[in-house]
Amino acid sequence: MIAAEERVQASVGSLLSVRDLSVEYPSQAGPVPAVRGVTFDVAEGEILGLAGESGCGKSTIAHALLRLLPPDARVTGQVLLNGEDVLTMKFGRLRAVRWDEASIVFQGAMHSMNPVQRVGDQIVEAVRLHRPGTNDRQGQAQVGELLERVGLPARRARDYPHELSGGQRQRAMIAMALACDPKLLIADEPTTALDVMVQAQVLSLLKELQRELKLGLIFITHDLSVLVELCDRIAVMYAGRIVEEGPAEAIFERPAHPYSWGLSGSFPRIGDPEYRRAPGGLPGDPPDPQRLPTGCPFHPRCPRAFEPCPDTDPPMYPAVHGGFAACLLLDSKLNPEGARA
Amino acid sequence: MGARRYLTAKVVQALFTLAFVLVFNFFLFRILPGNPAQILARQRRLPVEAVRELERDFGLKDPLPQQFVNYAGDTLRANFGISFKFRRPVGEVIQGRIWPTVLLVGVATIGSTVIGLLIGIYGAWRRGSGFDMGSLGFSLVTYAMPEFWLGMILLILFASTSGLELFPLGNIRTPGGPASGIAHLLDVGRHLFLPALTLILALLGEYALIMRSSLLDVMGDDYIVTARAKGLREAQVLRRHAVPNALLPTVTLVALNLGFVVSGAITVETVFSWPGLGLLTVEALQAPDYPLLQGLFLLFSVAVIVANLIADLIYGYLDPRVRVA
Repeated sequence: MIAAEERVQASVGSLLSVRDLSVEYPSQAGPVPAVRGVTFDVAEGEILGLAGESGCGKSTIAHALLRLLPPDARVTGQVLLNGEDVLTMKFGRLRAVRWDEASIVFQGAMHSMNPVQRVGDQIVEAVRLHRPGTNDRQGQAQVGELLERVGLPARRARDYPHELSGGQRQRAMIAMALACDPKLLIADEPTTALDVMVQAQVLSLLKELQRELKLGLIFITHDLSVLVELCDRIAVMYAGRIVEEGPAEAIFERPAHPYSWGLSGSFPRIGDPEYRRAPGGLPGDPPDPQRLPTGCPFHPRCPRAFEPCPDTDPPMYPAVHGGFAACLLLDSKLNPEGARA
Repeated sequence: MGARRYLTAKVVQALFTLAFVLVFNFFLFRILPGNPAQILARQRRLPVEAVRELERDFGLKDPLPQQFVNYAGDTLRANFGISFKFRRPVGEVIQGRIWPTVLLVGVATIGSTVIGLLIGIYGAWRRGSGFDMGSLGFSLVTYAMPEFWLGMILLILFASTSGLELFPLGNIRTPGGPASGIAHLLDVGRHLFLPALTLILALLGEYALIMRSSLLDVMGDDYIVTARAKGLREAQVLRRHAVPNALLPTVTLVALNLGFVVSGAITVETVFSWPGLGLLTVEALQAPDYPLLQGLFLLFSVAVIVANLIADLIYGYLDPRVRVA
């Protein structure tokens, strides 16, 4: 396909370029595909949103980017970080790249910090590891700076994680992620466990930091409405594959893939009376990755499925919003009336 | 801060338990069948008046509340009565036998903890490896083995005339052997080896199993992924993040066990004629020597309570979350 080749071309010079990334977990009943041939790019200072229901493989991608998956997971493809393939580099080089070039803000800050170590010590650990010359005083000072940068008083460095609230913990986690000035930040559902007010604060903090530090940011969430406000581009995932990719605004307003219609309809637009009368949302559950439907994996739940869908796995087609979508409705031969109804 | 309140609460709790033990220890021996005076005068055809006099001397005819007050007062003044068997104050008798047990239990606890934890850590780290499988089987077998049986097997293999005769059969030192200096220490060491080995083997299986499962548990936690993501080596992840968290349940178990090990050394001390509190308990039971037993029971209970307290304190030190609760 011409489209896919164009996208490969576009990768030159980007901060992160992921090519045909696949992840399989072993199981008694044979390998389970969690991610199936995902390709995307993140440029320096760009925010990419990764959206999808739970189980679609978005967290697996986050972990695969720094090779943090369990050793029995089979990972293929390429993850080029500043031109170096993370998946094939030596372990020593990998350790040096981790956190220094790309760091992760994990889902649920509750458990992603060591409960028996002071917050400051956990941050200093990362600094010292990648900047071996750092002495105690410099380390302390840097921790204080980092904490203040994320809106926490420097004295919080002496607290244990359980002494912080959920929002504070997530702020501390962000401070830790920034400890080595990475160029890429991967935020894996960083606001999921927080209540709405705190969510908004953490989001605006992330956005502010991203702009200030010119970070490349991958923001992973199931909440499409969050991504619209935050991201430059959005990739929508379904069943381990990117099914639509394009400019954030356009995907939310004029999605080309029926799954994205459902996903953007799944979240109430506050103050929109239309939504009250006609809630969208998707019927059914995401498919079991071990028993994916034939053809387009979305066709059993798709309100617009037609004859070729159960037999043909759709490639990416250019969509009207300037991005791409994997839907046969966009195939001018199969669906001559055009993409949009 | 929270730390001081935590400490006070734990100490008060321990004192309450101690008070309860004191009461229980008193009534336990009143319920036991047999007239102590009769036992004291056993096999001696004492005239009735003499028995009466004994009863009076020991305060056995006083009303129960009076007896309790006497007992509690005496105990608080560290007066535990006169041993029937040794005809000496119970405190003195126990004092003479406490150090062999402290030595044996101390060496066994340190040995089994260090070895057990290391086996557990290495097994969990190399899960599914030959070492893991082997140590798992070894731990289960030694855990299940009765220690007196293990002790007898070791005796037969390494001390008896039909075995290797590498070690002495029993006791803490060679009678008439060196009483001081390096020669004395070596002599005690030779005597200590087999009973300590028996206890170490009996204890370490449990520690290894707990440490292994605790560490495997912790290795699946999110902060371990964070630690890896930061770029730490596997060994650093293990040492700085996994082990400190995995130690929490294990250390509690070790400290709790310490209290029971003191009394639990009874069978091992008996097998090796180790002149400690365990052997003393058996001797007191055979007599039966009620005041001595009462004193020993009190001591064993105190050991358990103190071990509990130590466990609480260590846990509070290792886990900052506990101090607040």
